[in-house]
Amino acid sequence: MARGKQTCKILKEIRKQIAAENDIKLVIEECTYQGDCKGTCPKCEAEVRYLERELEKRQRVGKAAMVAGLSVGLLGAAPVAMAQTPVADTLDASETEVITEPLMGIMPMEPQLYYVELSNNPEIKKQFRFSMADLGVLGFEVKDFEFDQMKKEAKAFYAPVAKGGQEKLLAFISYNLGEKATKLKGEMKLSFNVNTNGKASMVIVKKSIDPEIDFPVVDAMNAYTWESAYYVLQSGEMKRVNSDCTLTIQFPLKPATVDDLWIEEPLEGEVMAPSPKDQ
Amino acid sequence: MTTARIFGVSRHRLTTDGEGVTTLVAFSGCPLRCVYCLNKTCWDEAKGRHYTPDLLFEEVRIDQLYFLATHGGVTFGGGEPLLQVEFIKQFRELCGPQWQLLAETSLNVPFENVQALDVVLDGYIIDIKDMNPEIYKAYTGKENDLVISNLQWLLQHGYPNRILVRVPHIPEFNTDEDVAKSMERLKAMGVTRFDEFRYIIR
Repeated sequence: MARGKQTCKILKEIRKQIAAENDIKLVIEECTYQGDCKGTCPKCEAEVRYLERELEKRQRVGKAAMVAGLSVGLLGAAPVAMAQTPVADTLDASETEVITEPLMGIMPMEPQLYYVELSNNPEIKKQFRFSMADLGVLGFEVKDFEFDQMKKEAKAFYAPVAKGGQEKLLAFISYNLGEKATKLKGEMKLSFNVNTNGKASMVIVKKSIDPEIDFPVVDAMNAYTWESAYYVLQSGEMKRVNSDCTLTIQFPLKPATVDDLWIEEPLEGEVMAPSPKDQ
Repeated sequence: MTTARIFGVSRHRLTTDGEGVTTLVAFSGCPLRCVYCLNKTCWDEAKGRHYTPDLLFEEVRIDQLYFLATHGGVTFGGGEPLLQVEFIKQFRELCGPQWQLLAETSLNVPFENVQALDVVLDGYIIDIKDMNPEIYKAYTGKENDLVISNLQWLLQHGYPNRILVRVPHIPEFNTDEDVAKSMERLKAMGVTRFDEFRYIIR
């Protein structure tokens, strides 16, 4: 879970700062866990308890515990900042425009391009599918059997979008590759599925730029979270579907730090999220 | 000791509902019936786990170091947290003054609740929905008189920078023009901090 990993990194930085400021020896090993991360784990929790014990020891001998406000800057100045929800404006495919100025690292991709009304004009869906392929950006196709089935009962289709947008995805890849991401030049192509659970699978490097980065990029893609594709049915209900995607990454990428990875978004799951779930 | 039903406790929220590292505590029970509410579970006061302030404090204090280091704390949401006056007051006594306690609220609660908690809370995230009473009623099923009078009181008796007002674009209920009107009126009342966003309907 990409978000969990990001949270983990930030919390780890906070622990490092507390330890450094209070002269507490804290050796933090790099986490090698590959599965879903919720931002903390027993090992991380043990480090927090260790810090608490060490701070208590210092206080017992009359030393001040330097904690208050120590890491405020780490999270950025966002007092009472609320999660901004990406806006999924509806946009008829006939009105879409291809943006000609590419972003660094990836061809342009506007979320609006990934919405299409299906019900009014049957030609649009054909146009839409081809136009995405022509763009060579994040070409995708919904599996045929689902598409054929869904087109009769759906009025709109939303393509998969990387959580936080493509710039966050690129930042995530860049962060995982390190300095190398900023030095390579050329084009890398990937194909993958975005599943209804918001995870990518079957990530295949179709065109490599450097074999050394193939695995780290695939690893990053596997870790990233997506807003999976979905249809809006005539009844107004939403039906999520798997989708096949291709992605072209233009190197070099911008250098990325932990701060670049953070995505403000509402929490998913059983707990109320502030936006837009708490409506 | 008082108890409350809580249907979710979420740790390690980073600047999403308050400064620093926060834990979101979601109370059951809500006076509104928002059309697009995705947490309808919270409408039922009888759902969720019983907590006492002690029990909650014991559960969330695990992140005290993070709270202190980042000026974070606990954000009470729901549901409607301002219906839990005694619970939050007792919680403040347990956690002390250093944790930031925020409420994410509709303010559609009795004035006495707002007044009683004003000395306890550090800030508010206010879901205003829409300032137009007709739009508000159509969307939430309730009048917004209390919301406006409570907000006015908070602005007059607190500090505007303690208040963040969330102004949503609500598909099929308000227009961009309505939202602009709401914000204009809120600014005239003294609101300085806004979170304008759009609901995604799924």
